[in-house]
Amino acid sequence: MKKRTQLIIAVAIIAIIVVSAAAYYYTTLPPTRTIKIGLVASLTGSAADVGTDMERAAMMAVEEINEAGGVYVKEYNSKLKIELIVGDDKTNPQEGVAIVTKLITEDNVDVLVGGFSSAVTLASQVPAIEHNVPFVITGASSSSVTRRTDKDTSYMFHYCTITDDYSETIVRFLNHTVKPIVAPNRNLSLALLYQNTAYGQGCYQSTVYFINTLGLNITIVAAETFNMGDTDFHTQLLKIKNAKPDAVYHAGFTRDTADAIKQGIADVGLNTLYIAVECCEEPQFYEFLGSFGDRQILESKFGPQAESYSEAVDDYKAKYIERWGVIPGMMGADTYDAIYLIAKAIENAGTLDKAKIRDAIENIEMPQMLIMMKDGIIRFDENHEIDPLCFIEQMIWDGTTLKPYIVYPDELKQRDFELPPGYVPGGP
Amino acid sequence: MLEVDHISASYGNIQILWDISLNVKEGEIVTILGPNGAGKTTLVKTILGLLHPNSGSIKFLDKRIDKLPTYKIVNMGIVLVPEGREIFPKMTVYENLLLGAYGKEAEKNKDQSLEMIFQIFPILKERRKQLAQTLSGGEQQMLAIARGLMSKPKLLIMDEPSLGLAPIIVQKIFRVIREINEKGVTLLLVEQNVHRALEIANRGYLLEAGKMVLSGDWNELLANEYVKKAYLGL
Amino acid sequence: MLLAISPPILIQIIVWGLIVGCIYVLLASGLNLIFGVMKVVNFAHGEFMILGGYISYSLSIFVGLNPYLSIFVSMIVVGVLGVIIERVCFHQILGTSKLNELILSLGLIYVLQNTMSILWTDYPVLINSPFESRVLDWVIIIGITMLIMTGFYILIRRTKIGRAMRATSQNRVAAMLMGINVEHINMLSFGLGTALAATAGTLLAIITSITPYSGEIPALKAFTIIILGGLGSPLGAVIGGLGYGLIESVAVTVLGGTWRDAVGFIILILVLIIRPMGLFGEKEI
Ligand SMILES: Nc1ncnc2c1ncn2[C@@H]1O[C@H](COP(=O)(O)OP(=O)(O)OP(=O)(O)O)[C@@H](O)[C@H]1O
Ligand SMILES: [Mg+2]
Repeated sequence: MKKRTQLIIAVAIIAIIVVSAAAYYYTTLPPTRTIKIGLVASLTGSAADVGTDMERAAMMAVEEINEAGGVYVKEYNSKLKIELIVGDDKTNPQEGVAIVTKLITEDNVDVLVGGFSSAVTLASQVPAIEHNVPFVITGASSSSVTRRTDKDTSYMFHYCTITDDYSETIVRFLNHTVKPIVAPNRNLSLALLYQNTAYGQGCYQSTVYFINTLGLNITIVAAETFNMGDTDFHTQLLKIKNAKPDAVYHAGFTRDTADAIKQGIADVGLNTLYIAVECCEEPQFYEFLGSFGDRQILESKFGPQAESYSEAVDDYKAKYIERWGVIPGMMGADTYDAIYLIAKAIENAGTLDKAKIRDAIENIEMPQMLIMMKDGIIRFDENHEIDPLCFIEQMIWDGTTLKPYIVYPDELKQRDFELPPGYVPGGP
Repeated sequence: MLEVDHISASYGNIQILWDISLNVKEGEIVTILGPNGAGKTTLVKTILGLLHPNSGSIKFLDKRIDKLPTYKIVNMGIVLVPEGREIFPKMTVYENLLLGAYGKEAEKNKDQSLEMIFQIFPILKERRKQLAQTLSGGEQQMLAIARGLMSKPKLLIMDEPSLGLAPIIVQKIFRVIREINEKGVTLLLVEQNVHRALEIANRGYLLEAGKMVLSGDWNELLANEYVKKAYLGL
Repeated sequence: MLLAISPPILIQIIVWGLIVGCIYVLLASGLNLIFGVMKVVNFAHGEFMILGGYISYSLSIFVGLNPYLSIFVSMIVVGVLGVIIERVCFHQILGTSKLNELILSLGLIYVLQNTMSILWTDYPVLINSPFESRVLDWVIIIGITMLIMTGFYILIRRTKIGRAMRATSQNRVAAMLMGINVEHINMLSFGLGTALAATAGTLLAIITSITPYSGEIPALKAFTIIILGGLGSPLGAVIGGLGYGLIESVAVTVLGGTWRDAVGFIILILVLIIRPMGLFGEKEI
């Protein structure tokens, strides 16, 4: 054989080996598919406004990621698109369990995100726990969702501020800003009106806890409860009025908070400082409160209505308004971040294996997005919780609209705190 | 005035009336006799449209009424004093009487009717502000009859008006029946008291087990051997 | 517990109980009327109430009608709707079986809730009072309730049609024999009952806020009240409604807000053990 022929044969053999190896390699690749993210949201029922916001935010994040090509998953050697499957828990624990079970067993979702109302989520997370499906909870604010001891919560992640964060921020603010003005020489009298749910009780207990551990000069003079979905708070407010508080911390949802503040001021004549928590950071809350919200307080971690304080928030707000025609709400922001976080974790994991995705979420480290972190980095601690930076907004009524300004902490402050008009201080 | 033509009627699957025919002419007193469970009440219910016949027809003043709802039949002028009184217990005697005069025609003559009724049953005048449920059984029966009279009926059907009443009251009621007949009201009287019924009636029908077994003038019936044996104990 | 509260606040708590009681009175009276005449328990009564609230809300927002005047428009609209629903739905199945009535009225709950959700969204709405002073509102609310209940009483007690309604409720067959068109009476009672509910809904939207789903709990309470007051007893519905509002207010004060909804049912169970026919009910009902 001529040398030339030998060379041709050798090249051919090599070519055949390479081609068949490549063919082999490619045929063993799993067929491409979509990444299925199940969103658990309350689209109907008492928290429907929040659920709708979560759904819109999730859709935006998914659309943005898909438009940019999708998520690169090494196992498939390609960029996979995300498919969002939305399940309505109807703000009801039983419905929540049913819909999460359906998302897992019928829709075969890879990851779950969402979940509002601690009462609902504590129930609806159980099927996810049992099927080992990673669940990034973005709404429920009770720390129990990752800290409960009756179930293995290793697949649960809490991308959300928790009641500890709210109460700590609120009592620090009261002590730092309010007490020197209204009760410089005595303990500040605080009343609580809280929803009788895991969430509301969490707010109450953490308030007591932080007043004690931080050694603050705040006395709790009344602690009244109400049921989820209640609309009449007159009797509780009358009792609170009887206790003469300097401020009332209302731990509830958008509508009960707005109802209670209105009823307190207009009907009961309890002219005090009302403090609402961040899940009220919804456009409807401001609309609903109107002039009654003047100079009242809202603890928050995401303030789309406030003056600009973060570029990411400004961008998101602009896109959201363009897409949906309304101002974004609070829980949607968590959900938006969480979808990006999940996408990043899947990319890091390089697979759609649920255990590996879980590990990747646990080890995530990425720059903060809409929700500010104390050190600017998104990461989960040993309790699978984040370390967010919360702030206090004061709502100002300018005669036509109610607008929040950050008044605490000092590094974010946009305005000085003022007492509400007609404010009547309490007693010791 | 009233022509019942070959009707049969049933409760659900159980047929009670079989091929019944009967007629009542203006101004008459006609009586329907028969033992317990014969279907007398069922027959009057069918006439009043509380039950619709399976077959056959009922005409009143030459108009078919067997498919009409009860209130329309009542407003045409057939009024029933039902078996077992059926008064309105938690209304006063007066209100019960007013309900008798619910129809437009009757309402116009309400005061006149009241006067007449209080004349016939003075006890009702005394008791007019009392709740009907507090009346005695006999008084309730009087109220039921009085309420029927308030309706200014053309044809008054009475289902056993004497049931459970003391002889004196029974006597009185029969007197009243004759009186109102004399005032021009046609009467169809369901009775078990054959003797008394035939005394005041022009004609009678005998109903047994849902079938019309006999009919005729009062004196014919009184003279009938079967009636004598089975109903008059002679 | 109550003694620790200063007298002016205690009085406010009681007044508040009576105001809430007014809503219960209106709601329970309508329910009671429908039950009394038709022997049908209208489980969707709470939804008719909320619908009344929404109609008044829309009238006050879009037409600028004074909410207290809009009550009367809303009564008519909801009442006419009630008549239609009676005709189209309840009339068809009346007397077939209790189960059919139950399923029909439960189904109506969802139809009405979803319709309201589409028309007015799930966001809570409230009707803004035209007055500066809330005290004036409360006086008007109590006054309107008294006015409407007096009108209702006169209609039921003093008019021919009211007499026919009572007759139908006491003895349906005898009513037919009086020449009363009981089907018209059914329609009328349903219309009137739902119109009363519409009033309650408007007042509720004035004193608190409503969503399409806010009717469920008040309707349950109205059932409790008519059972407490004795089914079919009109006075029972009035005293039961006011009493319920008061007890609820006191229970929230003494036991806490969590007990608001529970306390009524506890009382109901106790009363049924002691007096199965209800406090004002007649034995035979
Ligand atoms: N609602 C009903 N359903 C079924 N059967 C019935 C009903 N009402 C009556 N019946 C039956 O029909 C038959 C005739 O009853 P109906 O009341 O017409 O008798 P009656 O002649 O009026 O008897 P009485 O003299 O005792 O009043 C009886 O056998 C009775 O049991
Ligand atoms: Mg009979």
